[in-house]
Amino acid sequence: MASNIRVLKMMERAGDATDIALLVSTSSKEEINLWDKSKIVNSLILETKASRELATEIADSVEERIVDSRLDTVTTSIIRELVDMELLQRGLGTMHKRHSHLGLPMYDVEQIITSANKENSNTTHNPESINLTLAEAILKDFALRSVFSEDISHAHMVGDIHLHDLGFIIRPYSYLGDTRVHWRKKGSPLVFTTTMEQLYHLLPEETRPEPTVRVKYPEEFEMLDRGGTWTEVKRVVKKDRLGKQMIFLASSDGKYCVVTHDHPVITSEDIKPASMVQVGEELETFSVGAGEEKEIEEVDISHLIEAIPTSFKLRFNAEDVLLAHQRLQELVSQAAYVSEEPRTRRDRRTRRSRPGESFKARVVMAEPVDVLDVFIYDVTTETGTLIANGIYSHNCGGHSLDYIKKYGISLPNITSTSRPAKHPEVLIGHMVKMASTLQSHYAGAIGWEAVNMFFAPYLVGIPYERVKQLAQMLIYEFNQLAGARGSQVVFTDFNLYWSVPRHFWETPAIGPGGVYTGKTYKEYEKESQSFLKALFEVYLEGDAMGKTFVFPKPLLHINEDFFKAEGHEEFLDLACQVASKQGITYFVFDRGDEITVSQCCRLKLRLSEKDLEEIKTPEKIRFTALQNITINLPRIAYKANGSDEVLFNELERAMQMVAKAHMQKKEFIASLLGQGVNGPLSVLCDAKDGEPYLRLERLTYLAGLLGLNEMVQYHTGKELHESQEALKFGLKVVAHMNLTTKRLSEKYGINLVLEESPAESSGYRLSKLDMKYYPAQAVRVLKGDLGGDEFYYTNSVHLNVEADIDYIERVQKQSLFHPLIEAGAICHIWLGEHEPDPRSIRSFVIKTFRNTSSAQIAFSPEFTVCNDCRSTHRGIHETCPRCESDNVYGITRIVGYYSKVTTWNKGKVGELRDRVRTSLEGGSDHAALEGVREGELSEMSSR
Amino acid sequence: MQHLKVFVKENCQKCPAAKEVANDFPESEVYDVGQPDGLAEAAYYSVLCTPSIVVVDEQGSEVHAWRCSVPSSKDIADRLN
Repeated sequence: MASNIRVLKMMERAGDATDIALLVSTSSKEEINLWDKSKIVNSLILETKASRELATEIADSVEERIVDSRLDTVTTSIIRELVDMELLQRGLGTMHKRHSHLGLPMYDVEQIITSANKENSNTTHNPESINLTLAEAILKDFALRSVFSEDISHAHMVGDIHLHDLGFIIRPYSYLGDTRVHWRKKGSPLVFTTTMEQLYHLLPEETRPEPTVRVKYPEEFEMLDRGGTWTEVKRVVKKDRLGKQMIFLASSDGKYCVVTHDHPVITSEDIKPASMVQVGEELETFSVGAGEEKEIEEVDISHLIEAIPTSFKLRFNAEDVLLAHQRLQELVSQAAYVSEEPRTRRDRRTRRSRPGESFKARVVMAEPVDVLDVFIYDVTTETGTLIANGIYSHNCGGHSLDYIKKYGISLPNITSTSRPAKHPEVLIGHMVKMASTLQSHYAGAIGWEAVNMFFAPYLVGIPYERVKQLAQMLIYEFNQLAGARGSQVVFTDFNLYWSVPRHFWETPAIGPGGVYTGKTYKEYEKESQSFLKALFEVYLEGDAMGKTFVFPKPLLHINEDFFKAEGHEEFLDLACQVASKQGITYFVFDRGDEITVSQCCRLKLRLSEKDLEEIKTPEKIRFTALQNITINLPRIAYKANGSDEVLFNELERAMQMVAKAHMQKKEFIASLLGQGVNGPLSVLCDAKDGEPYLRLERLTYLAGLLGLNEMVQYHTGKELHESQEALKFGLKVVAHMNLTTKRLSEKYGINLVLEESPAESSGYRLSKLDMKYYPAQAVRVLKGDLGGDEFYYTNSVHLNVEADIDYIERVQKQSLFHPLIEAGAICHIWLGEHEPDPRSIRSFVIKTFRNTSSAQIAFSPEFTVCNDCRSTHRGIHETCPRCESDNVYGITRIVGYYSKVTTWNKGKVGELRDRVRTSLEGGSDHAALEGVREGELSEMSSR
Repeated sequence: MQHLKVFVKENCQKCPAAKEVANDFPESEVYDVGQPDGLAEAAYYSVLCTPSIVVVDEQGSEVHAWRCSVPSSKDIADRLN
């Protein structure tokens, strides 16, 4: 009846992303098919898991509607909408969610193409950023509908919390527990064959980085690898299977193994997830045993106990192993049958002659298998490969500058491989490429630890003039990378030290060619200082127009050793001169024994004992905080309506929601990483040091704060700077949050810490949502111009930017919060058009270090750049002070970095107007900082 | 009138000694930094470790402090007006 209806199919769902990218099928190509109801039925069964009966019933209804509508042409989008409507009318919400369409209205797409997106001021309007915005719009929708639960998505949509960009997390690839591996104590003549499960339980000292993951780090252990060689075992992991699909793989020579569907399998053509392996593909297998009849020599486990009686305990669950074997028995028999086909038998006769020989075998079975095992196992080795059940296998394995120095550049997304750099220029090239690659995998900043120190071995004997040229090259290369990336700056932080940090004193230095030089980094302090001086001289000069460099941001660490190092006075003068003239210096304070690395403008990560252990092999150093979720604090005060009890209950509820959201995002990212080296996050799996780039157990999860000042103002009637009670109440809120993060960290097995959210765009978004949902309350505390939409909440725990207090009081009071915000905090000092005497900055920096708890300070001047006469001037002006042209733009810090004011969102423009600027002179009494705090600070981290 | 603010926490070895010394001064306030109120007060006085004892005046301003250490009763008495 309906076969005369034509379906106008918009080919927007191409076969895969490559089709779309190659423009094989695009929405501009139309394809006309005859009406076929069964396509609706099949799509419902595939996408929503509906039964055939239900799917047919829905398809019938949709067909009826289309016929009734008397249309002779419909698009697949209309059909999908009609199906969705049908699902909703039947109350099938979950099915509707799975079946719904992600896309953008025509009007929105036109707006994105024609108007600049001001969500981040480091992105300009150009074809690449349009692509980015379009893609982001769909991915955000996907995340809110698919990654997060409804309550979390709702909280984000209404503005209780703000879910920041996607993050990443590792999930080790895993085997079933009865997978056999061959191992030995390093150097021992005894070789053991056990299952992974047995091996795991034989090893001592289990750690629990997460509730579902248990890890053991065996010492001096080796595992059999390709070609009969031995590779060091880095760790053995036992984890909850959590319902992961397992794949049964069998080879033509009778070997089999059961692995998770995402486990990378090495075939002769490629490395691919087990679920993608096809029958007939070639695998490399390995014969371990001494005879033809018995390929693998089973060593009685009791020998092990005799061999090393003290450190082992036999605790494996034999029942689990037995059950696994029973369930797999049938598959194994089948596999044995298929592997005995004539050609294979010939292969086996001719090829399987000597023990210890590897050869090719075909896959005879590759299919999903149901197993009841609760746990799965994984072994990480130095080479990233091992022999498991006689099959050559890959495990996922991932940077400081020393990583590049040691391994060169070898990335899945770059076709050529570079050897370790022999020359400093090449090293800079490698660093820039790696930064660019990493940036495309991360939402946030990429921080580089101790850049000047790691560079130092390359600078021996080089005259200062060339050292300065290298410094210039490094800064320009990073700063101008933006041109190749759709003008979005690669957000880069350089952590820099005048004196080699104490924790690196004994670290063996890696030099040209990736080889150890035989010296420690402490012995390169002279070169390290020379490079640091050169970097700051380049920062002082600015670019060709004398304009400040925006990136890479120099984070100068100040600690007690700094003041003991020779030449520190002269260097501090230079750094303060840069701070005064260009404003780009960030002073990071490391007090007591606390050792930190700063990743982003304010994100600061304290090093754990395990991190410090890693200092001995700095190529392994990499720290990641993958995601931030910001809590809208003023909203909580509105809900509490003056009640302390409600306020703290709501705060607790919001923190719970943050933890829950982190766990949901983590699970999603883990599933992407689970696709391994052929998945979308292959770069993050492919480390050369035996571990993945992203290490699950080492990640940090951030809970951000926004608008503490307005929360306190609404709740107590006073702003933070207006009374001691208000300030103390603010501290109580943050103290409560600090203690709650600790509790939640323990509960969920993650490292959840507070961070001052930069909240560049989320701050504006949340204030707008409050004006929508809580207008009567919000108008009482919002800052800025409410009539002109240029309103905002005060950043994180900062004091009102227009508060009538001097900069010393501002730093003193804000710093009180810093020890409670463990992932980092910063105090901004807005200079405006002032260019204070560098000596004033120097004095203030020293006193802030000695007498406050401030974690970091930065001085922010404002500039006007003239496009016509190419001059740069102090202060923000509407016309060029030199040629009076109005073809000018302003530059200053929006949050933790510099950008053009024209790219700022309305909220930030409002804030800029209100900022109280200082010259660091007149009425400023530095002595006020004296005596605020003199005691020891080092034990804070233990609390 | 000047009085003491004493900052302690659970499982802190020297904290019982600090509390004992503080007992000699009846106006002392003891704060547990494991609780929000205690941690907030500690942050306000830049107390970053326990035990710590801060002498404050009527307005709550710091007059003297022993951070991460336990003074003797005599030391405290000498500082108190």
